[in-house]
Amino acid sequence: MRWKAFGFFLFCLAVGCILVLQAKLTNGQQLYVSAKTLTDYETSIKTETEDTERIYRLIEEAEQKLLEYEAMANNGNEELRDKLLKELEYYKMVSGHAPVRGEGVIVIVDDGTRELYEGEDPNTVLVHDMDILTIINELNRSGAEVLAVNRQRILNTSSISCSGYTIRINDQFFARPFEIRAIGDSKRMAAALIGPDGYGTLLQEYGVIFKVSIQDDVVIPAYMEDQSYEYMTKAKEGE
Amino acid sequence: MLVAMILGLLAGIFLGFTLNVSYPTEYSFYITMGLLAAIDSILGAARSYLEGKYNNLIFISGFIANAVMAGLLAYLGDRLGVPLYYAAIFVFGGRLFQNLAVIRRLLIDKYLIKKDGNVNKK
Repeated sequence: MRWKAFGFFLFCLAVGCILVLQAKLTNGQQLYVSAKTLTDYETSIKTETEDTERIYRLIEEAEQKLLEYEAMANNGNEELRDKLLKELEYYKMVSGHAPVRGEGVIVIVDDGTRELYEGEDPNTVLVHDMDILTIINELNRSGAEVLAVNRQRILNTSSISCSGYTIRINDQFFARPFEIRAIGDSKRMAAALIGPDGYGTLLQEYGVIFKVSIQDDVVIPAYMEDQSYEYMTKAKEGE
Repeated sequence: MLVAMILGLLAGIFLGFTLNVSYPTEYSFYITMGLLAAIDSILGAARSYLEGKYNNLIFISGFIANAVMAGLLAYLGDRLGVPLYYAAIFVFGGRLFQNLAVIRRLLIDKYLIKKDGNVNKK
């Protein structure tokens, strides 16, 4: 009997002890964590660690670049200047401030000349801003590196909108015909447009004039409009 | 025996406040289930003791089986996405009140009504 009582004493001691420990540990917060929340947290932790690794790689790259520059600065200014100028040229080309050339396609889109059916809406044979936008999108999808419509360079800030019988591109008005130039994998771009499911084929079926020519040397001029940024400032990497 | 229980609980609570042990939060849910099973077992033991049919083996095996079952249910529910641990909580919780009611009646019978001998004879 005494042993039993002692056993009970110990058991109750353990229960009381764990009870209080548990209460202290959880502080009355919701305890139950479902397996779904756990996996959610796991994935978010994984992406976060990947992000940090990426940032570390960026830091390493930047440090390497810095070392390179410092080494060049020690070797004399000529080399450093050359490299910086080369980089400047590259960024000018990429950002649209220098004319570029290369293999590509020239797409010509024009209003259709066929007779309309009786009661047919003439809009079906006209070129619209949406047609141009879709063609540009298709070209980008099939690997175009740089685009221009009627010698207007298309940048990431370019807009194309309808304005009556003309189309407004980069705040300039253009009438038909439209000539879209693209530099990139010319065969792929042409195939994407004039393939069986291509947008060019669709336009041709409507009666719009649509021609694609593959060129070895397409010249695309620089962006001519004024570019000024009021709202954006540089953000630090990894923020 | 009841005195030993109460003393043990009080001493345990005191110990818990003084000790500073921590364990991973992952297991705390299962520990809660085990605690529930333990409290249920204690009340059940007190009841059977008052009824005079307490058995050590039943007490220990009951506690272990209940705790394991509760943990298994919680784990299974976790895997299946269904809160199966509710079953354990409801059963244990319900039994707590049931046992408490029986203990209350037994205690009243033992200490209060016995003194008032007239009531029983009516």
